[in-house]
Amino acid sequence: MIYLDNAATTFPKPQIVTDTVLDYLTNCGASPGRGGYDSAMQSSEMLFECQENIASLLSLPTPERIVFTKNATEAINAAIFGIIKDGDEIIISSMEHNAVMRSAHECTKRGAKLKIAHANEKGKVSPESIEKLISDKTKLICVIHSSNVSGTINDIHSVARIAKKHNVYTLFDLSQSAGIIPINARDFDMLAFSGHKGLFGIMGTGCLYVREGINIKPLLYGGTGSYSESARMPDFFPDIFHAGTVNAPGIASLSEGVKFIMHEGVYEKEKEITRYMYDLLSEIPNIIIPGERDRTSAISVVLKGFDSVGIAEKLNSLGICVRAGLHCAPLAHRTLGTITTGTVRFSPGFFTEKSDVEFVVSSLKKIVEN
Amino acid sequence: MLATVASVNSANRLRTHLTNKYSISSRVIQTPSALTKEGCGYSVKFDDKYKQIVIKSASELRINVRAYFREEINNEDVKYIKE
Repeated sequence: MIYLDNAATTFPKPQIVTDTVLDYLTNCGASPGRGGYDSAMQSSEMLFECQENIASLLSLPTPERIVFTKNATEAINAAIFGIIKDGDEIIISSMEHNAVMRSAHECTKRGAKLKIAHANEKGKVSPESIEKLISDKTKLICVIHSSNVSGTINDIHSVARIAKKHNVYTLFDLSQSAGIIPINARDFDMLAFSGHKGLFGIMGTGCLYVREGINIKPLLYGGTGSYSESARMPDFFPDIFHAGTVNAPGIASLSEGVKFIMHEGVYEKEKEITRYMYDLLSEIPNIIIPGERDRTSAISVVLKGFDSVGIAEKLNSLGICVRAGLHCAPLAHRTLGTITTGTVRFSPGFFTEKSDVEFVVSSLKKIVEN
Repeated sequence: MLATVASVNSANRLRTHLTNKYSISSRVIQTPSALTKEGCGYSVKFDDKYKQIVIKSASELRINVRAYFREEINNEDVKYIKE
């Protein structure tokens, strides 16, 4: 099998990640913050260390403001519904995943106004186009750092500067960039990202980061293992967002995944294998590859005259795993001009070999030629 | 001595800071029920002589320590004296 769907979830995981989950389930098993016995305390320490590791990777100043969610979608929901109120305006880019688009749309049913900043044909949204949409009612700007369709990398530092100038909060979706490209997120307001993609945790892990000083309402209410006698949710982090038992084995895997990234220096390999695949794919006649050459690892293609799902099915019969369709991002496909055709998305990862890429591209060529 | 804090996360932050910055050994424990009105709290347990450093560390980390309790042990009976 050749796995090229790392934009959905990375596979394989580093061996240490798999071993850690097994070890946690075999030798620890306790719920963090739910007792004073040794394994419960070890579990709490593990969760704390995971926050520290993520903060180190992304240069975040306050590790305790990183909370664990079940995925990036939950983190995005928590941020949007925790901030937006009736009468507020929310600006999103036209490259957003449905996690943002549907949440923002739901806000409009609750009395908020949605504005969309249109990206160019490469999938890049200009900070200036966002600034033009800002009004005195704008509360939040949501921008995807790197597109899950085209891999286009947006200039979120400029967006953050503009938002700060207008006293507007930002939420950046790092699902396709965290662990894939270096990020200094020190000055950002809110971040949402998956734990199971570039960060190599297992599925069921995600994170929300909320800068100190931002008041936000929790998405869920319930037991946190702290202030148990009070009927109110704790107002401090991370407990404010940790209602109910957290995915401790998953968080343990995420912690090891992040350490793996920091120790192995994965960025160059990811960049190299993506460029290699992009260049080989570019040589196929009648292929369209939306986006720029410099990108994260999502390479979506349209082959003129061929059905995207049909191509993916043929590749599957050869043991090649790719995803075809709209990738839960119809806004992005409209922007890129691929809404009617969909695309076949190839997303190599750290463990993809050049020989795998060569086999996949030659297979694709044969499908097209026949 | 115990420094009682709101959450296990705060307790772990304080413990790590004491180790990394001041090489002081401490331990996170569940706060004895008698010492917490709010229920289910955690504390950092440390040697009495480090109290001023713990106060300074909590301030550096902006961790709200609810109270400090000194332990008095008579035979096997432990009494906590609020300071």
